[in-house]
Amino acid sequence: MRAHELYNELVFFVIPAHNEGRSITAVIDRVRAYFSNPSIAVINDGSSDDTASKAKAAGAHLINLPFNSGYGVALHTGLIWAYRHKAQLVVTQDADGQHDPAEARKLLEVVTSGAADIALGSRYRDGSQCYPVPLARRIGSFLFAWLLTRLAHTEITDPTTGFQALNARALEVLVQLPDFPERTPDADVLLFARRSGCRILEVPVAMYTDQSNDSMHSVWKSLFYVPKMLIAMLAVILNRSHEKTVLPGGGAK
Amino acid sequence: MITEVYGVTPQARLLACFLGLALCGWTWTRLRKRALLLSVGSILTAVGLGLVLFSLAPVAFDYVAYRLGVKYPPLLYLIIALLVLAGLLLHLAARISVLDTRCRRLTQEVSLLTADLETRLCERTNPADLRPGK
Repeated sequence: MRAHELYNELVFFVIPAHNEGRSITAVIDRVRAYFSNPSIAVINDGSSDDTASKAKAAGAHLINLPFNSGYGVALHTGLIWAYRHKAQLVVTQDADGQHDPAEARKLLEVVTSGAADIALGSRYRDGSQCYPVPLARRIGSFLFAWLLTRLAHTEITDPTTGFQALNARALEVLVQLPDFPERTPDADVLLFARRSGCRILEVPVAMYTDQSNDSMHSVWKSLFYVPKMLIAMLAVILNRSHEKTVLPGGGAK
Repeated sequence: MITEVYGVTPQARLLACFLGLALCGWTWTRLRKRALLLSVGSILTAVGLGLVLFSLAPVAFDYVAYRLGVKYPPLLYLIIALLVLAGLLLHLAARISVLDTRCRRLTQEVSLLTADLETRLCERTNPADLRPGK
């Protein structure tokens, strides 16, 4: 029996969604096509369209946030849900169809092999396929990848990826992060995880263009994103709370 | 009889006294109804009493300014006002940050509990599969 067949029953998919009615059904169907019996949670982040009803109709466990709280809050809520259900393997992915659930296997294989606690799906690694990323966003990604690689002592090329696989150790660390970012849980969360003892590895994946054309990293938001993320990373470095959550056997330097 | 002292006209003194008393009155009314944070109420009471004190003895403020080496006393008033405003701003910013975090956690808890409740209600009607999100 292959490894992924062993963990088919154990995988929890956490899918934050805000106004993704056009793509959510297809995303859930694709997860079910590649995993025989996964637990899927769609965290409806105050959508004003039919995201909730479509997710429910597709058979996902629906968690409705009462109002739009931000991608980070929705993601964190999903992680708490998985943690409370004693998830051993969690895959987070966007609801806009950018990520192919078929490639979650590659991420999960890294985590289940014990090579890492967090596997990141990277669009910039050799062997990955990616839609044309706008130059401004690419520069921002490169900057934070460079910074994070040095601060976390782990080579990371795509710190903004929402396509990740976590094991129970990493899940516990992220759930206990006291101030999980409200909007953009990217490099700062990875830095926190790394400093808490989690090992991070990247896997090249294909990433498709955002079907809803409403990516949270739009150009005007990028202006605020860079200084905000730099301050967030500095806060992680200054904050000593990660020392309380260092896991046994962790490799934080 | 209220007189002009060091250029502070009687009208200005009366206005300062009235504003100080009004601020104290409003603050204490809100505090009595428990509709104002004690820390904010303390700051506002201090500001109100400061205004009343100023209306009673403007000379005292000028005296303090000269003793501190400020040759133009209104400058000291401006600095004090800015410090009070900055203090209030810092206090409220810290308070809002805490409340924002708590509000977020409560939102998450409500959402998770509601989702769990719905799952349990579904399980009553169809107890075949107890796994969440299956």
